[in-house]
Amino acid sequence: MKNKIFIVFVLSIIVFVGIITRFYKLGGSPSGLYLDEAAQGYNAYSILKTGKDEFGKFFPIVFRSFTDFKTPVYIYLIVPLIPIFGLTKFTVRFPSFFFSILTLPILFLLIRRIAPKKLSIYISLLTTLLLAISPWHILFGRTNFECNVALSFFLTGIYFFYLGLEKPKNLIISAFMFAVAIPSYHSQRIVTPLTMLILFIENRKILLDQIHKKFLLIGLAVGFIISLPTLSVVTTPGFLARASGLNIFNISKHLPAGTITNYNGIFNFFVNSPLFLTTREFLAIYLSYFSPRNMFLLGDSGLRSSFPELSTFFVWQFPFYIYGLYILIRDRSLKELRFFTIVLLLIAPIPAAVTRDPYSTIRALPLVIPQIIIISLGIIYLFKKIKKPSVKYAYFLCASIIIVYSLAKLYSSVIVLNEHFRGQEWNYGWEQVTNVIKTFNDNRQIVVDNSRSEPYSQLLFFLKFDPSTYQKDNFEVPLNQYYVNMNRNTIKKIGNIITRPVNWEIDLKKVEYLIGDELAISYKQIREHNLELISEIKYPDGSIAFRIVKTPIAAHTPGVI
Amino acid sequence: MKIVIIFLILLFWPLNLFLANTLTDWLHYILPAILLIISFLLFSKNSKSYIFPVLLVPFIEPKLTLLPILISLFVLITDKNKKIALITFFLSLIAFCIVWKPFWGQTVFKTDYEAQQSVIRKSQLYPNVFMARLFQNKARIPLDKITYNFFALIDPNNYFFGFQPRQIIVNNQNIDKFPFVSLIFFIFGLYTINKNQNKKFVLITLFASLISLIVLNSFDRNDFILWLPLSLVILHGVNKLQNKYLYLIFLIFTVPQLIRILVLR
Repeated sequence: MKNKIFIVFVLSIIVFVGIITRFYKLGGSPSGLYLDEAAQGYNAYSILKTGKDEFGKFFPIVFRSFTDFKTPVYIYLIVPLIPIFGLTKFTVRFPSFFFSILTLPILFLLIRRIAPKKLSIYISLLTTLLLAISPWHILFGRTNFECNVALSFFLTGIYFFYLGLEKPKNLIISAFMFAVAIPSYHSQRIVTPLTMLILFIENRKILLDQIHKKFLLIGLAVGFIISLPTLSVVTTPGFLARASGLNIFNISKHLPAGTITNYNGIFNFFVNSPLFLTTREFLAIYLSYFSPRNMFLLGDSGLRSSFPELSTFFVWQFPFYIYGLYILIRDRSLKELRFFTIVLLLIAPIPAAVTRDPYSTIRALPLVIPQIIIISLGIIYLFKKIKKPSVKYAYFLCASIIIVYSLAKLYSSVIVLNEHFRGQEWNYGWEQVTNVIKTFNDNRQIVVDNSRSEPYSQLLFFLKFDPSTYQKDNFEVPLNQYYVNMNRNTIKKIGNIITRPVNWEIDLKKVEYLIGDELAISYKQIREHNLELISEIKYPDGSIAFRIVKTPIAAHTPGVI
Repeated sequence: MKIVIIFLILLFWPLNLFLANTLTDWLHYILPAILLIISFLLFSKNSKSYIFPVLLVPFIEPKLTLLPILISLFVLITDKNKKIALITFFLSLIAFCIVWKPFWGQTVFKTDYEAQQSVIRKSQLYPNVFMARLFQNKARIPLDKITYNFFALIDPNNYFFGFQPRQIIVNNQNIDKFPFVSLIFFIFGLYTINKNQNKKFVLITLFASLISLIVLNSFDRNDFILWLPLSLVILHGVNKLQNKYLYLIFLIFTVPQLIRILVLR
């Protein structure tokens, strides 16, 4: 009993650490709102108000958005939060935060169940602690990324699967969780079915006995029913948009990496062989997910999917990772924990490795789990090697100091440096732009330049623009072609705001407001066209984000106002 | 078939280095490795003075001055007969004293004005001096560079894929160092390293080379000294993994890779 209270106490502290690292300035840092976040938030708002998305589609199965066809689960999770918290940055990031916290106790329960008894308490607590302070997991727990929600459902599915081996009723919950995980994020369309298949094969003897078989079939039926909406669009270009756009094996869209385009010699068959080039690229990218250089030093090259001066893991974890790997390979007494870790370690990078980007942490998020288990194994086994109590205390003290240092490092990278240097990547400035727009009371047209970005979702979001008016005023494709027609209309009308590239010949003929970045509206143009500078919005590092100007009356063509 | 495979494995890095550089440069980078080969030949003939050839390395390439010091130090620690190791250690220290100036100028310890300015700018972003000093200090400039070099040098992608097919590394020729399928042999060779009869030589030269390279501002091309120890690990893997299907797969993918190298250059 005392032991249980102690475990609950330690777990509570770990969850509390997880909450602090993710909740501190949630919604405020990053202070910008990326266009995908805004699009998800506004589509949720539109669903809440009208039951339709921004294009007027009634409860979509996947959201068209920027024809990237966003997964639906995250957007539907935002819907009930809007009446509580309003349409804010905090609201759109809250599901990610909530599910990343939920992952902590689920991981604890899962590891405790599958680890050998002699290790289960230590390794489950340590793994949970390392996940609570993991830069990789924190990044996606503080911002709007569907992958975190998907991971939570996926792990819950696995946990209930293992429970189901003893109490078969749990197989139904497991199937439900897996079925929700699949449409939650693109990469789960590969990771979840593969994991399910391997778990089934490994435990087929138990699952196919009379008692389990019944619940397994019910679970499959439940999973099938939940998956029906997804299955109904599975062959549409919309559903396949992401997969076909990024897939390295889709050589009709992109030439394989390393293609020598100007070579047409006799060895062309070998030199530009798609089999050779794509196999090489796949293996290189796959291997990059196990590279210590990426894991402990470089991290994700995407500026929104990484923090400055911080990789996906802390550098101090490297020796434990290497030692943990050695233990994982050698120690067969780890049984189910070993099996689970190896399976997830090998499966998790697959969806990411078929895309072109090296070390994409968003697509390979499930990989954080086996790699953290390996680090925990390294730490625990090294601790076990120590015989002297005094050295054990010193080891524990060092570990505590390192944890505190890691938390301080997180503050340095997540709050201080990320905020200062990554404003542009997080589309900082649109909230400030809309605050200025709200002060205009002359009802003149406002042209927002969209040459280098897609600002309409942020404008809709921060203006909380009426969704039914927006749906009426804008058209992209007929609704019966929602999932199949990939044409886009980038000119958007939001009341008196229009998003399109600035055209000086047309725009100088009437009095209107122009909004654009430094390239769209430079000081030189302001001087040349006698524009009135209304406001200048700067990034946190002091560089210009946007300029808001008013065209002069003097520039009008006579008779045209 | 095995001999062809061994030949291809050994050929890749020197050939690629030759094609990517002028003959003079190539000779400059390959000579330290040749001295290591001589050392290895002496080692395999049980010669006690097998580290002597490495003593010449600092005079060919001052950047690698640490190599003989570290090799003799490791031999000193691991060998029962300490006499020769002690002699080579002192000789290598003398060599270090002779060439330390050009060596020091090529290391990460040389003052980096730009990096210092960046540290000062970043330190002003923190709410208090303690945090600023903790995370932005000048001492971490060489430390960061060492960390960067270390992880680049232990990255398997560096040796088998030229980092990434779509990744461009600044200050690095990004050449394919080994056929990428030989990664399988490398992993197996590493896993069974305890059974490698050259284990001692491989480990000593590997660690000494790694440490010598991580303190350099740019290790590109000088990392060719790793060719011998890494090749020995891979060849051990080839010997242990005698599977004709694997050999066939190796040839299917390596021949186009070799032709590509010749066409590209």
